[in-house]
Amino acid sequence: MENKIDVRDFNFFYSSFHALKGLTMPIRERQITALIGPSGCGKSTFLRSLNRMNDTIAGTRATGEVLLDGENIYAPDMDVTELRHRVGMVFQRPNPFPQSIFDNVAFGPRVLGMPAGKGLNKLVQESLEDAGLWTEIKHRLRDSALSLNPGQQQRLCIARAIAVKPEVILMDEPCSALDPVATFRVEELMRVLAKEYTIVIVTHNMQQAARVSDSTGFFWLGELVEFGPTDQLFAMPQEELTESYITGRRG
Amino acid sequence: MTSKPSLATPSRTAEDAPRLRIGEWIIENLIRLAGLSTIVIIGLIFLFLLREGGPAFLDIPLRQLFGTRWYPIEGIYGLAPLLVGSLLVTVGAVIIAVPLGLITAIYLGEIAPPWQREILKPLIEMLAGIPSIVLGFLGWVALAPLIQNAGAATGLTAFTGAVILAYMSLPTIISISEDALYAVPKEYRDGALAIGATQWQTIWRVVLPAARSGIVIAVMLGIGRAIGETMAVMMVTGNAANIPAFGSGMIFEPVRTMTATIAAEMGEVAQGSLHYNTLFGIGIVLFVITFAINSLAGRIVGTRGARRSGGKL
Repeated sequence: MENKIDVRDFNFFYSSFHALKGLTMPIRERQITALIGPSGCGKSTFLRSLNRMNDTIAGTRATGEVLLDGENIYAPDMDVTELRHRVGMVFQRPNPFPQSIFDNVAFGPRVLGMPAGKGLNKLVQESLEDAGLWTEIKHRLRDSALSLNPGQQQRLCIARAIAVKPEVILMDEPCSALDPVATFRVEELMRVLAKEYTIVIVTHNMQQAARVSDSTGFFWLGELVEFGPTDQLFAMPQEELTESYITGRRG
Repeated sequence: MTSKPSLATPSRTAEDAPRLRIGEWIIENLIRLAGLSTIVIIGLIFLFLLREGGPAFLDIPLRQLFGTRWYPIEGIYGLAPLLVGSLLVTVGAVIIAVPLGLITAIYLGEIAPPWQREILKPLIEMLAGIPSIVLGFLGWVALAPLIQNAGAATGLTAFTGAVILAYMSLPTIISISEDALYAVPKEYRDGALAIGATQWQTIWRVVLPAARSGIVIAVMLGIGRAIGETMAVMMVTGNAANIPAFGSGMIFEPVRTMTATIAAEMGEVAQGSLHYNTLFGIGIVLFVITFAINSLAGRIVGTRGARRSGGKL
């Protein structure tokens, strides 16, 4: 199994606060890696480190390496926009732009310089199909994206992310604002997408991690306590802290 | 469901119920009165304008009224020079102020580091507090000589007025569009950046469209300020009531605006004379133009609001 991303001795600071401490973990290609842990344990910070979204916050600093296909994304010559084309992101709250459904999906390709025309229309359709949204909304592509329900909005955001053909998709609690039915559909979608994409998902919901992921990392106070295949981590955790967290005694 | 007890509590005695209702009635009607008074006052203003200015439109032949000669002493009242004057100055001001204001707002809201914003914002608000006459004075002693040295026949031109007006409407345009940009949720910016848009692409393709309705309001209020301004314009545009020869140089000729005409001539006319009526007629024209701009802004913002709430794009 290939490692898509290799994290090596990674540290992250918000000003003087040491948020991530010496993380080392692999993220395997075309698999779903789940990150679990209590609020404030650094799992979202870690996720946002993988496409350098933390750069938008003033006073942050990172040390160590995050190797994407062997290339350190924190190297000084790294092109951050190029990195984000390769490593896409879906957020906790669905955040479609206040534009039409079509324009939302076409946003990324247009930013990359794709002209309007058949190619773009086809790409938008494919992305919506891959996100499992096409049949529901194919007759209302010109409607505002804000007219969709939250579950559809989140799948639209997934379509928007995959329209630029990323290699990795980061998902930051993508279902926490959704009802159980919409959650189920997004989880289903993740399983399908994992055939083509490498997915990293942060979740508060341990059942979700157990249901969808191949590997799971357990974070506690900025440290990676345990990392391993999901079934093993949930069935036979090696660390006492992991066990007490997943059984609900700590957290 | 029918067996559910009533939620109304019968604790109020029969005695204070009417008193409550009277208090309620008074407050409700005070609020209604305040709201209605605005409508009534606007209606009265328009009626007054019509009464004083209306005869101008009846007594002066339409061909003369929209003619090119404004010679009140000879009894010739053609509004075209004044309309063209106002148009030149206002359009000139808008062309200068809108791009400059928007760019400044984008810089303040999206690019400037916080410490710069903290210095710049109060300064811009101070610019709004400068009395128009002071800006007019500035235009007269500082800007006009510059323009004359640059080759114009006189420094008191439509362009001078436009620049002064632009600087008067800039604070409005900047602070209202900056507020509109600020109101755009961070999630939109994150969403765009996470796809790999550059900062400029994020601003141009996501933030500005999302803030569009606020920016339209900012621009319209800026124009409203520009078109109604009198004193500063009167000081720096040269006040020549003739139409400059059509061409690219026309903005560097002296003009006279509608507002300046009213202000300059009102003191000298006999009340009730045709000249007096015509000055009020100019007021009607101004009123109609501002009203049209405001309703246009309302329509643009209105359709935008409908889209926000999920209508057709």
